[in-house]
Amino acid sequence: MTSSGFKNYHYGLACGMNSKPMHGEIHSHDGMELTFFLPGKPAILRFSGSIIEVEPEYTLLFWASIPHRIIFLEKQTCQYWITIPLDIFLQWKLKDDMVQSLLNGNIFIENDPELRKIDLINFPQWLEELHSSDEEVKKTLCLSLKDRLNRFCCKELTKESTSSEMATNSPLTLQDSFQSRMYTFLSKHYKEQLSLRRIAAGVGITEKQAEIFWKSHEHSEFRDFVNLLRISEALKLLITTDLKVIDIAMEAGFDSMSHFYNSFHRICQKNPREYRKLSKVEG
Amino acid sequence: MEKKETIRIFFGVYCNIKKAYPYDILHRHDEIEMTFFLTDEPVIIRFGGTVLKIRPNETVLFWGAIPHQLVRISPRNKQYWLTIPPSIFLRWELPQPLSTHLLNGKILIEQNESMRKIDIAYFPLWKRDAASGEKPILSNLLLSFEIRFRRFRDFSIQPKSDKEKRHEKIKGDNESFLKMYDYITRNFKSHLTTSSIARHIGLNPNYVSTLFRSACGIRITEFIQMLRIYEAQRLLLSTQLDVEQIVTTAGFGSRAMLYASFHHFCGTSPKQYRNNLRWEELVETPKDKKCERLLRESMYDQLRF
Repeated sequence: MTSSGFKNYHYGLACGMNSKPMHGEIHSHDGMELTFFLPGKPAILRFSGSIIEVEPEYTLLFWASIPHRIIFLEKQTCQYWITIPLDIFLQWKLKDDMVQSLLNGNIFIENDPELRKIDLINFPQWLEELHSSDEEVKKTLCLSLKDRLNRFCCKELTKESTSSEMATNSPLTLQDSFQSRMYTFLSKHYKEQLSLRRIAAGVGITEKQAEIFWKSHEHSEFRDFVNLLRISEALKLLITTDLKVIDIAMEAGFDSMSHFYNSFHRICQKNPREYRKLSKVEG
Repeated sequence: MEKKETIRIFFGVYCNIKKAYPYDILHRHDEIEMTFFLTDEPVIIRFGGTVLKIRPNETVLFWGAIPHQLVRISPRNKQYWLTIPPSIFLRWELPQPLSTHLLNGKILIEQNESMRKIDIAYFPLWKRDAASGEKPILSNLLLSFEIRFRRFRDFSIQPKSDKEKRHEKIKGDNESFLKMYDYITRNFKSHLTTSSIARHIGLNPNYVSTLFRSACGIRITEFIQMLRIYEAQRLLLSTQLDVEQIVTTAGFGSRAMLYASFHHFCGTSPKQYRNNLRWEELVETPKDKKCERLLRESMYDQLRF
């Protein structure tokens, strides 16, 4: 299987301000991501099966193992982002209910003008610290990001503010609504055995249309996306439960262990046991 | 002259923004202090034997155990300041030489535009955090302060050497006062009395007392004690000298005098002070036992990082 389509990105502890965010394609990466988009019209993001409109004053926090992508962003809008590897994030021991909820794939949203003001001042400082070769300066950055997440005024994103369909006044076209049905269907049924035929039937199109959709739209196969969803589920189970690896693979929808290990390694660069150990916080 | 108890000042972990007034009295406290002033002209502050002109774009970091006094400030001002007990500060293990300089009584001055912007944005938040009294919030405030101190990187040091004390000329300061002040800060480690000081500068002892009190708001003897206590604290934390040696080096006439003064100003004995800071136990001051306990717990939370 050639998998040019879905890449995994390893950022480690990082941050950035990009006026041209690079991820047109759906992707997932390890660790937590905090992000906001300024200025302009709300950015539109896809998180596996749902779509979220991010108002300029919102700051999002989510576990980036959820396959996600930016669907719409105005030209002059800049994305501000921070990524934090999961093991560091777990060591920080933030508010337990928030951590659990993030690990369960919930997306948090913050709307706090004061913190936003501070973020905008902090970002250049963080970038400077990120590029320093001094270990002490890097440690300061790490502490500062911990401080930031500690201050995150958490509000779980309610179901009403996400949708699987585009709003009618959305800048996206009809074709995207078809796309949304596709993603929604897959994010609901990824644990099952899937074929193009089943997907086409579920979405209400022909097999040929489904195939063309994946080729032309994602330059890839639906299986890659399904893999991302399954790995995301497996990561969640590894961190939040004590289930055996084999049970997790089956639970996440993989039909063979070798397939599971391959996909896992490709996306996480580690094997599942290592991943689980890394994220276990002592005490 | 009536005897007045010196007020023991205790801030703990604290942060505030407010207008400063020029009739500040000469005082000391145990905490490390960071401060800056948004104002239209330089502020003049005495730090022990050093008098500094702090420009509006400068941020000052110093150990509050050095007797200090705001001498001159424009009425249009806003002071931003925060304090942190040395027990917490020392545990951070900040990149050297910051803590060494501070414990040795250096005044560190930072001029950094982007840090100033960050400070102005953060201070209102920190002020709220400090006033909250809630454990998780205080714990995170300590983290914020640690980050701020770690970012205190580009600084100049005053005084440059112990011999060369910087003295800003203050308009209106009486020549005799300056002479006296200078004499005290240079000689506090030897035996000093009001009459010996008066004799040295050729004035009447009563006049000397009044003069000092009107300029600094405290008695000469208190000032001398403060200087000696600071010296004792410095030696306890930054050297291996034993208490006997400190009695003489810091200018106390006897062991009993050191103990009495130390108790008076620091609320503990010299040995305990040293051990507390070395053995990671916090000095418990009667006023704020609860707060200190909270802080100690939160510090341990932090240590796990």
